[in-house]
Amino acid sequence: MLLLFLLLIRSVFAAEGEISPTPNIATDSAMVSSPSATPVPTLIPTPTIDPVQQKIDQYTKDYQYNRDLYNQAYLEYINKKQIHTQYGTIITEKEKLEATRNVLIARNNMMRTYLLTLRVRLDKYISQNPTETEKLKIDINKWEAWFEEQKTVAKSLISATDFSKNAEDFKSKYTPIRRVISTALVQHQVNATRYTQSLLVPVITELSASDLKPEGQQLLSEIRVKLDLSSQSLQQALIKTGQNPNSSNFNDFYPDSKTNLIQAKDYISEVIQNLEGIIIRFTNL
Amino acid sequence: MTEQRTELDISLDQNIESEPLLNPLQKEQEAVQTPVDPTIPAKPKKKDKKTILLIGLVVFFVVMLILSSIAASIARSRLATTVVPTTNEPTPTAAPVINNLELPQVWRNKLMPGMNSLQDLIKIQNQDEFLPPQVDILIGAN
Repeated sequence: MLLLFLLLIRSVFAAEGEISPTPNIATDSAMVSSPSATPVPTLIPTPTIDPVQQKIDQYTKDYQYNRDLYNQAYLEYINKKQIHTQYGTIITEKEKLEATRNVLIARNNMMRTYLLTLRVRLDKYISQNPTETEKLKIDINKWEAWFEEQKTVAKSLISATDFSKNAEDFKSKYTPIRRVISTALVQHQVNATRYTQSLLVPVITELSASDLKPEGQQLLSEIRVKLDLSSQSLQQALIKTGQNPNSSNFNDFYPDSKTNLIQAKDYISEVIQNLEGIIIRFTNL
Repeated sequence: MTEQRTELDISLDQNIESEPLLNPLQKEQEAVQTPVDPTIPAKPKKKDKKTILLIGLVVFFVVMLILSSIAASIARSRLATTVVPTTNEPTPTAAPVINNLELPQVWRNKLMPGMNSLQDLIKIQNQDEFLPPQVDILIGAN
């Protein structure tokens, strides 16, 4: 009886299998991800040495070394300043001025090497906007020269009044320096994102020309919309850098621009993932 | 005398065994409460244990069969809701976000020569920002 019962149940489920076409997900995914019939020769990319990247790495190390020196010199300066405030002798004042000179030199070196590295980094994606990027590089180079000059100036400072005047001068100059730095940071990221876009556009074009299913074409049109949105976000990020360069008040626009940059990058990330999905799902490769 | 008494006793004993000792009133009530209806079939005789067991088994299997067919119909309805349409009609336009899938080499080369995966493109954008150092701009000021 029990056997009969089991046979009956089995026959019911066997009938189910025939009636409803159950999608075999494992089989489907295997079909999707299976390689093409004609194997593509896999080219193993040889590691190419990028001269720009080499420069960037080298200058970054140099900057980090100078930053450490500045931090050490700054601690020494703070220490000597406190001692002079406490004792107020000629010797403590002399030591404080010496420490001030050293930290100024260290600061100038650090800023110069930072600007140099920033300028070299701009070279990486300069092809995306050569005109504006070159202008920025020239501006940065000017400030590098100014910091180089300040090393000599710092060595010539003798009295507390000289140092005080120098501090005022640096304070006034630091506003345009920060503006150039923030603009360069935004421009570099805009260039990098546009470079990514430039790699994606031909693939989208090629996929559009291929024999895609309507669903794939629909997704491609959505991808184009996302690319446009990313371009708009990049443009907004750049617009925010266009403050009046003669204004003495510097409101750092970088955080605002950064919001737009993140938006643009998010769109690009979605485009990349969606493209990946379309290629895998709808092409016969 | 003894024989007579004995016969009498026997006859009395038979009467006692055949009929319970009821008083006349009870007999009348019983007669009123249990009328004899010729249309009602007589109560079946008590079934033996084997028959009861057999009937129980049959009922059990019938119930199980019904339950299994119900379960099968539920399973069928669930599977029917997950059937992927095989026609060329456009499906909902939500973009597929597929991660951790191997991209064909041909497209990988087209997208990013020298890169290992599509995600490397995202890394281009997510490089460190190289923010400026924190500087004390009032060094030397009084």
